[in-house]
Amino acid sequence: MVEKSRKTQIIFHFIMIILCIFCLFPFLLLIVSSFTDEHVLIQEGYSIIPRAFSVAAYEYIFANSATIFRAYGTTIGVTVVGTVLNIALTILFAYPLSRRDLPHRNIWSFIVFFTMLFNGGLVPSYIMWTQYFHIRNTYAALIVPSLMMGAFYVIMMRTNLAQNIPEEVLEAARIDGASEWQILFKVVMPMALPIIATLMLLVGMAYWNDWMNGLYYLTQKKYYTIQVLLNNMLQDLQVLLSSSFSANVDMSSMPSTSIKMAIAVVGALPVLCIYPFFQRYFVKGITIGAVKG
Amino acid sequence: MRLKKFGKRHRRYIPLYLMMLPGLVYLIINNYIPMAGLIIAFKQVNFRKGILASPWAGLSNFEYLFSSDEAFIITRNTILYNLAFIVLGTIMAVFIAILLNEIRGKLSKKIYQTVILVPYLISMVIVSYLVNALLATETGFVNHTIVGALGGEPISWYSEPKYWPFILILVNLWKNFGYHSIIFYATVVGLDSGLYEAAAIDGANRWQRIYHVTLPGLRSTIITLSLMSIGKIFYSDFGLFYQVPMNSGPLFDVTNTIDTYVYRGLMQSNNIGMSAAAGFYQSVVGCLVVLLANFTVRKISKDDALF
Amino acid sequence: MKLKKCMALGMTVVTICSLLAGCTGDGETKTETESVAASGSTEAAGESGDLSEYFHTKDHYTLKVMAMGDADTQILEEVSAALSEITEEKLNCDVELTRIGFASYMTQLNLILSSGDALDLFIPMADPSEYVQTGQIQPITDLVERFAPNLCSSLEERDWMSMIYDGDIYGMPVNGEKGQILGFGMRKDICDELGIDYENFQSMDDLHDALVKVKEAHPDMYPVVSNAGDMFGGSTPYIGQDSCGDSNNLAVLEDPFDENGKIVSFFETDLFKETCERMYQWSQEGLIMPDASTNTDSCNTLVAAGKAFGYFQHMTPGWEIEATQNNGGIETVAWKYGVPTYIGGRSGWFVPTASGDPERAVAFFDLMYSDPTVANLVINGIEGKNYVFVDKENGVITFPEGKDATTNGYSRLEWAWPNERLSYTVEGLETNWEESDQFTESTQVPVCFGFKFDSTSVMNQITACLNVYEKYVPALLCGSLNPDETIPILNEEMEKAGIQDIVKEKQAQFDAWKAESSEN
Repeated sequence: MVEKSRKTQIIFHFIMIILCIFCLFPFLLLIVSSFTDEHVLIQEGYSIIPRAFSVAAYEYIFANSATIFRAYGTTIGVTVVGTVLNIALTILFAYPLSRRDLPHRNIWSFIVFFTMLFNGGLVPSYIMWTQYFHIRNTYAALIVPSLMMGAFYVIMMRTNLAQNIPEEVLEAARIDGASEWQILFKVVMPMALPIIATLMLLVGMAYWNDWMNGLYYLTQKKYYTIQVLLNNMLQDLQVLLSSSFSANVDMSSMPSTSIKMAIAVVGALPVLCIYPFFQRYFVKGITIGAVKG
Repeated sequence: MRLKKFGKRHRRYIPLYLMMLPGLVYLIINNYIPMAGLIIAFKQVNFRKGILASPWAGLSNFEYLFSSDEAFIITRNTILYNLAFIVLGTIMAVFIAILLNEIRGKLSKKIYQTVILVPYLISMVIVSYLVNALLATETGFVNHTIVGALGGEPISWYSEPKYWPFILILVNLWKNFGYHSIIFYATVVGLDSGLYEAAAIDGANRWQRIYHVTLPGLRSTIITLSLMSIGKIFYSDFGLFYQVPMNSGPLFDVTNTIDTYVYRGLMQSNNIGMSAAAGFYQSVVGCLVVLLANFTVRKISKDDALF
Repeated sequence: MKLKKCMALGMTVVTICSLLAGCTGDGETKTETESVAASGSTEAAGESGDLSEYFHTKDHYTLKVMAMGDADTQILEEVSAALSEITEEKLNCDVELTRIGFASYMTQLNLILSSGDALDLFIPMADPSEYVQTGQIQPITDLVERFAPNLCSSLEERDWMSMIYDGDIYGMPVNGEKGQILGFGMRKDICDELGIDYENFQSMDDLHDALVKVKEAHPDMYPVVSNAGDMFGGSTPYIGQDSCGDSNNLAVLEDPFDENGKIVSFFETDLFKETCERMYQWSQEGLIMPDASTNTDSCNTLVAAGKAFGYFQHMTPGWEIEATQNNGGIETVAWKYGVPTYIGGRSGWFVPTASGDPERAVAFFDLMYSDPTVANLVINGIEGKNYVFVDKENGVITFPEGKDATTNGYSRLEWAWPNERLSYTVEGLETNWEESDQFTESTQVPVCFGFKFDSTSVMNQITACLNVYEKYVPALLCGSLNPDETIPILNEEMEKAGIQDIVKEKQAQFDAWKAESSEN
């Protein structure tokens, strides 16, 4: 039995390692290219083995290091505040929806889901947020529109809560005289830690990766997040080429391949460093404690 | 009397309604009020008159979506790719989630979880460069190393449509499986351990446990995620279908979707009415399909339905 | 609960109405009253009336101006303050200057124009026809003469033609290069090495022979490369045709200078066929880079990396100097072919419908156009921070110690401002305006110059045709598709997509326009 189990473990690990190589190989290609001399890259193509080591791409990105670090700071702040707000709104909305006894539960769910199907387009949202809430060129512009609560997260959380929190637990708490708010904070939330941690991760990534809000609502560079900054560097060339000014502009000042690769590294690396810290919430055992306690 | 009864029934739920209030206000501001913009699809917009006072255009903004021969191809591509993504993506993600759950060894588990998220963090533009690094005719990794080693002729990937359905599905799976695996994994982790203990006492082996406990436990999450994807069945990831094939003309038969068609057609004119019409069309179809799917799910298992 | 629902619904309806009617409605009422006031007061103040005096009788105002290019927030604030000091006295207003990089400029501008946000003056990045058709910008016919006297006195009649839609002036043209010509740019060192006499090329065949030589001598160098997938440049005229009233190259004039030219489908012209055949032949001979239509590097990067010999481009006087700089210092020369073509007033500045004060907007443009201090502020930024003088007398500048064009905090896009001729020049990149004027003299004016095509009635056909275009044309022009097989398919699909409707509609509008302009 033990022998057999060990064999399956080895197979499982083998599959995962293969998958991980598939995930990492392109990323490695990315990192190596970002450290390769631009001219060599163009002449000889990409390679997994570094040739002609060069940090020119990073020098280009960090030429305005003050701007970059400021943008990193903004990103971190926006991600933290935004994620906390989003998760708070999401739990508050999803918990009642997860209750089977909530009157008109399906209608409420549909109201949420409907926002995933239809949207009125960018211009009305823009009018709403800029003319009634005046968020243009504020940090709120990076936090509030679209990202502060999403139907996807609410429905995921609802489904998860409905399934993983037995009615008996809620009933027991109610008999103990707990109010709905107490039940939410003392019973439901501790039991829901894995999904909360997961959604925090997903929402956090959404905030971290977002550049659309910056594109729409910011005209002042000092509010830029790292992704807005990087995305602007990345898109400049493409946008220019499709305009009638392409002949007027000094294209050599536009990011070249190795810079584009470096941009991807600079944007993604911090998330990979933070992620392991989230993982401790993905542990079993919390649920058992709550049910039995 | 009835009112009193009504009040009594609802009083219990007042705290629950209060919890929902902030989210509801947000949805109204961020989603529902701007939905008024849907009328743009039926207007010949003139900003001098204001959107409301602009002349009605009837359904003329929608015509271009159906009038050309391409209409069939782009609809077919959009639907088939989405179905492939939903089915294959779900199978793969569930598989990985269960694997992660079964694997012992805390450190390796953590490493796997982190690594499979890497592709999700890379933007589609960069992915398109990476794919290009692999597939470029002369300098590409595949032609250079693999095809070369096998002694084959270099393949001109960007002008051979037959490979692209596989390439696009592969890229999509590669990019998104980590994300979905993590969602399923969180559900598996949250499953009541009592069920596993009971199964173990009954003498169930690993496979029986997976079959009788884990998979049923994942059912509602699988259904929820699939229903949400079905609602978007007429949309497509613009980056995947436009940037990854490098907008290469010879591939259009297998890469053109509704979104890329609309983009190419309106790129220069920036016609707000016609682009709104495309979005409206995609939403309406998505809505109908999802209502149907949800209805079917309800018939089979009421608790798993979305609404 | 019911009550709450009703309230929510009520609130929604009210907000929708104010949202859709209010914001844009405002702009309209304002402009109407403004223009009434303007026409009324024109007489009151007299023809030569002192503008400064006139503006001081009006309320103080903050003028919002938007232009392309990256700039640090702090520098923008300083430039705006410096501008305001001048405009305070001359126009009784402050200026708030916003600059946005290329990547987001178009999106931001479209959002601001569509939502009726406050903006008074801007330069568009795309063809402004759409703004006119949807009423996002306003006519300034009645304003230019009085509020932009310097502009009016220095412009020729034909310079205005690009800015006139339906008989009204909508924009103010910038003063820059006014002519362009097709050309092929190439590395001088290799030309010298192989004895390529680029100055005396007679035809494409001569170029072809030269490219073959290059291929033989430097097998790992591409003789011809595309500019990030674009073989001839996207804008008109790109291989000699004229898109005629729009910029999508579907229905065109094959010869832009033929008085009796008819509008035809671009893909049925001999010009298109010959070009595709030539490119295909070159491609088969290995003279064009493989994957040219999916290449993501700019031609400059490829030349600088030593991977490319040359590329096609539209050229203006002084092109060689700029190209040499763009190509990382590799000296670049050009063979110019085709007809020098007049493109004066191709870009200009416009006043949005929602502007609160179009008079001051026009007057401020005139200031940027005629006042060297203002022009240099907006083009070059702040002295000592964004640039330093090399030779103050001749107005030659360079970037401050340790800075370059991308890091100086205020990107220099002299051609995007009203009058680049007033600007200081950067060391090594001095523009010779006399040479430029001479070149302009030698240009021909296309017969459809000033004609605007209203595409409203054939939008469906255009969207369908553009999709067919993207499917075949870039690859054909890069020589990756065999024209003998592909062009018939292309034409068949274009027919199905309705290209003849576009041709007919454009011909009708073009005839009407010609008749009208010959009357005047």
